[in-house]
Amino acid sequence: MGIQSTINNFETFKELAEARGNIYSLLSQFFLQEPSKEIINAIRGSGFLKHFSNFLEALGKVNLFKEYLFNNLKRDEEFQRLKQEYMNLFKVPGPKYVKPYESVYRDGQFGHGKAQGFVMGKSTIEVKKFYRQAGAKISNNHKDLPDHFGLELAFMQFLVKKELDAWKHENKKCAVKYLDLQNSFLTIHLTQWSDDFCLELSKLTNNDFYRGLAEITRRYISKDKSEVEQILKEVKSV
Amino acid sequence: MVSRRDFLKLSGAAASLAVFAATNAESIFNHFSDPGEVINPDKVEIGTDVDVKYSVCLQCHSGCGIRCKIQDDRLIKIDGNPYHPNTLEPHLPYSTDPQEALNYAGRICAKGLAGMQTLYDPYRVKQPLKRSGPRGSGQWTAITWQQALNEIVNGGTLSGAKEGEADYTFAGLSEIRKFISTAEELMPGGKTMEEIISLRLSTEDNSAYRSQITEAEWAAMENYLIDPYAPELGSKSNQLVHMLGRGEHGRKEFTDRWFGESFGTINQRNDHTDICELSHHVGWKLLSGKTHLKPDLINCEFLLLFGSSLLEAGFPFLATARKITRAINEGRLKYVVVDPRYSRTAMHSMKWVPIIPGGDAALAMGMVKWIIDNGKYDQGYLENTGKDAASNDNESTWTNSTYLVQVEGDNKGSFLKIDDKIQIVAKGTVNVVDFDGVDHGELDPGEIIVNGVKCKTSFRLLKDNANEWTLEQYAAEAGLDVNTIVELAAEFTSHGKKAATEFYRGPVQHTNGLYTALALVTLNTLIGNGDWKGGIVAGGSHWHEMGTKTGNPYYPDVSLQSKIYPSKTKSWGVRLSRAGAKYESSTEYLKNGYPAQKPWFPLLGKDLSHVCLQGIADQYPYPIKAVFITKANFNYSTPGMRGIIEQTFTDNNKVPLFVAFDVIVGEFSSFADYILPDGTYLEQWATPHVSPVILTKTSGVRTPTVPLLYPGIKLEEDYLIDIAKALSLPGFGNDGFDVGVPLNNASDWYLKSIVNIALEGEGVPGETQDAKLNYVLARGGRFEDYSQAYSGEKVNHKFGKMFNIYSEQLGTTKDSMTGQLFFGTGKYVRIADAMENPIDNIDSSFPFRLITYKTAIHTQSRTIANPYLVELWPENWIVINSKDALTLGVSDGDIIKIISATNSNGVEGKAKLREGIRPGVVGVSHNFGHWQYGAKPQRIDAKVTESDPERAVGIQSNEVMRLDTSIGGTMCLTDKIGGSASFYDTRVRIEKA
Repeated sequence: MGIQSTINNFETFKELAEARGNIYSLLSQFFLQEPSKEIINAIRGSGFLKHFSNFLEALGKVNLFKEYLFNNLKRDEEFQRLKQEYMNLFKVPGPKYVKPYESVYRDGQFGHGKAQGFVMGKSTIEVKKFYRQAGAKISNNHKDLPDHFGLELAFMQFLVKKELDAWKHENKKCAVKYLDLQNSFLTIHLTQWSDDFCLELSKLTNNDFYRGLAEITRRYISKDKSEVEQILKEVKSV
Repeated sequence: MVSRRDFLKLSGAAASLAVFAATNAESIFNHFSDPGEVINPDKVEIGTDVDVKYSVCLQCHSGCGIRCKIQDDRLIKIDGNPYHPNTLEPHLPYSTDPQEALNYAGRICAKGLAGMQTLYDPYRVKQPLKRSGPRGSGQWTAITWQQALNEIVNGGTLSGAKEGEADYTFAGLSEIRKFISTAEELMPGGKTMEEIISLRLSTEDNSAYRSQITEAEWAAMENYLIDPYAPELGSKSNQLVHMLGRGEHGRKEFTDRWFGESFGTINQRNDHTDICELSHHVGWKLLSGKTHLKPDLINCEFLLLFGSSLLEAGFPFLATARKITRAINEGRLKYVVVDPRYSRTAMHSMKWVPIIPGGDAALAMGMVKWIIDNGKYDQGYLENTGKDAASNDNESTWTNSTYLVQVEGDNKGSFLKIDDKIQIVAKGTVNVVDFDGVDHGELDPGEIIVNGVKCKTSFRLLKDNANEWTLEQYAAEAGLDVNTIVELAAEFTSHGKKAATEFYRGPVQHTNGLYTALALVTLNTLIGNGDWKGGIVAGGSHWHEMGTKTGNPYYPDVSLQSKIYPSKTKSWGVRLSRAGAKYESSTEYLKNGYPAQKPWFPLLGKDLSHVCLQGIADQYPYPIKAVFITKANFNYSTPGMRGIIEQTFTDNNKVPLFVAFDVIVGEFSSFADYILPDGTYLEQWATPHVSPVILTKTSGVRTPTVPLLYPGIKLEEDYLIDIAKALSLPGFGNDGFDVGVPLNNASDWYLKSIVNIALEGEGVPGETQDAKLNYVLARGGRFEDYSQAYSGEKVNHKFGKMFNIYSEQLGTTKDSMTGQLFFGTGKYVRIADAMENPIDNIDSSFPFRLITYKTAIHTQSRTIANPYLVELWPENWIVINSKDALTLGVSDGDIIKIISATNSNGVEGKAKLREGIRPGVVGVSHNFGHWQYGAKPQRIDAKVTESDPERAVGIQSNEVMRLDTSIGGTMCLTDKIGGSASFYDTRVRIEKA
């Protein structure tokens, strides 16, 4: 809708890339780090929740999540609880541990009571290769495995950022290259396990924040995949 | 469906988080960085933070593939690349999945394993340095790359070169190159440069010459030429000299392009091969056209090793030693070592022949004589007149044995030709016919007179040379008995095609090196072992990175780019080293005749470093303005010339500007005006080749395993491109390769080279160019499978050409010091100076002969920086026979001094008493006796750097080696034909210190 007028200077593609990059950045933070005061404060800050609410509306029914963000998170003890939940889900291999790695979900036969994949499996290697081939170097700050769910989201952010840079230089060829990379990463990696992973996350936690996060992430990834395909179609037709 | 509008709305909110993230000091929101490299190969992955990267070693020149483990950009382990034929027997098939390949490791040697310590040497230069005291004083100012560039390009001011001298200004590169242009442009409508030169060379009198040139022409010539009265010397741009120590394929073609084709100096490269084994290369080249062929070690039955200590210092050492060991274990191979020193290789030999240094050709020509006298050569093979004849005889090589050579008259030394066809005597007749008219010719029909000109066959010329001495005389010259010569010749000729000789530097770094090389090569030719299993082979060679083959999309080799590189600057003139230049085509010859002031080397090329240094020292044939060196340490590595080099380089009239690309303050770079810190081989690129010992096609690729270690370091290629842009040199920049095909950095150059390797012919899987490139990078190169080594009883990759018994090129070339023609076949001549005075006569008061040798643990001038290796082999000694020691009253461990005619102060070292060295010979291994290379502190600005005085351990025997006083004593004894610097001809006296 409504992109014809600006198509020649790629302005719309640029704005889209900017927006998509920010969403991936936001989502990846939620998976890669325990919630910090700063993030929570930023969420509570002006404007964010209002915009986010629109976003959630667009994604569908995630009322409990919204409720949580708007009300529960205002309480400090809830903040502490949230941090603990993050550790239980993503860091400590206890009963709630969600094992946020692609190879766990893809390299075994997923499901309760059935064999799960090992960490550092074939998928991990494939993911790492993908990063390298796209010219992305995992920063030394990242001490976790390469196929961590949050890192894959961060990688999407990286690709979108490269696409954005290309638009800024009006380099359509380069932008298409990074859109193609996004498309194939979504196709051969993220969408291959995001549903399983997010559903598993929802099952393992009672916390509305993480249940909501699981739901919006799952939905967003699937929407974004069709979005990327759409963008590619439009760009290539220009 | 999320609408785009919603995304955009959200963007505002998420952006507020992004802003917050950016202000976070840890920048934890950046989980990925973009290393800015265009290279994203399909590598294997073994862990979260451990990377596996393939590259190629450069601790020595063997070019072994390596596999490096990298953690957080730190090199933590080096293994051999199992795809690379140097490291495994057999190596992995090329199609092996890289993940699967992780289950195998190739082997590399101690030196290769210690390479990490070259990378992490704490004394590396970490930023560009400018000299702030006299040359060699170790006083520096840290400067920026930009300052260095400004001054190197535009000129600047430097401190006095010697203590107490005033500051001086020097001309930058733009000034040196100011007048470069083609001669035609300089002299519109006037004479061409060829005409000027030919006018000069036919007009002895200066004023007669001058009077035939117009004022306008003369003015242009004064601007453009080094010396208008000697126009053949070339343009002033020749006054920039580049010297290369350890050159590597890819890198040296790059610097050749920069200095030669783009800057326009004939004095490009001047590499170290002359202090390595040059006459070996030249000997092979004159007799085969290739610079070296090697024995097929695995299938050989009898190997005659002249000097080469293949179990400790071969090339490639590991592969060579492995193949020999295997051939011995399988009961096939026996070998003999001809060496004054009982090497580790000699320990496992059937016989050690402790020859007198320099006597190798006496032994070899004695064998040639016995083989010819006893008819033990492969007569049928030698009689074959050409390719077809050979092919009918199941041979893929042939010789010029039957070709008739004129032995008198104006064309002495040339083949006899009628209607441009070389003539032979048809087998079993007295008929002189075209060489391709019959399959077989007579080897020795005696002296033939054709059209009044006396002729002999190539074979007969060899025979005549072999007959110049008797076997008894040969034995005496070699310090052996006649029986040894006979025994070796008989054994050598009793294995059919499965015998071979092998040599590298030992027998040829002598004044008689080239003739010796010819004799050693010829032994193989006499038994016709070329291309046969167990014989002499050309090796698998490599795919072509320089764009010379069909299918190569890029053209790093500038000579191929005439179309896309129209402003190519032609470098021309006479090299300082006189390599490739005929003395007879010089103004000096016109005026003075023979002898030349210093020897000229018409048969040689870019690799005559020590003569180049002599040229700089003597300003002969002309003075220069600037010297650039790359990875070169000539005052340490060149025999006898340390004093001359250091005098020259502390004279700012002889060397106004001296720029060094180096990783450390080395012995030579310590004299530089600017040291520009380069990456080590583990940070560099290259496309190294391997020796013909490897029978399958091999193209290893060296790629950076870690980023440059310090922010103040740059790759030489990157910086030279910066300078090229500042000078507007052709062939670099956005259109460097072609319109729209950039050459802006090292990776532009090397990735294109590697694409050429990947795309040549079939064999590298992948749909796209990038996919093929990735396939190559993921395996550290392109490698042919081991199964492709042989085909039937021959090797698969055949030499398939003619071996010369007689080199017409050599036989028609004159010695610039005597005016005599050289001989075109192997020959024994005594060790002598350039004016042919035998050294044994001049230096008879020095009773010992000095030799050097190599160990398995150290190499060249660099391994003193590797503590692992120093721990294994901590020092060197003066090895002396225990009988000699007894006579001198020297005990093991005594400090003794070796003194020569050139160095009366001598050098001191620890005596090592051994039975395993010929009496009358003393040996000192290379690699020790440093005085820089981290051994001394440097003062950078106000700070004194750390250093390790232990790096000065041991002695460097180069310092007592003999200078050639018959030509002024500014260069060491040298092989006048092959250009080898003599390492084994110095006679010394021993004193207790």
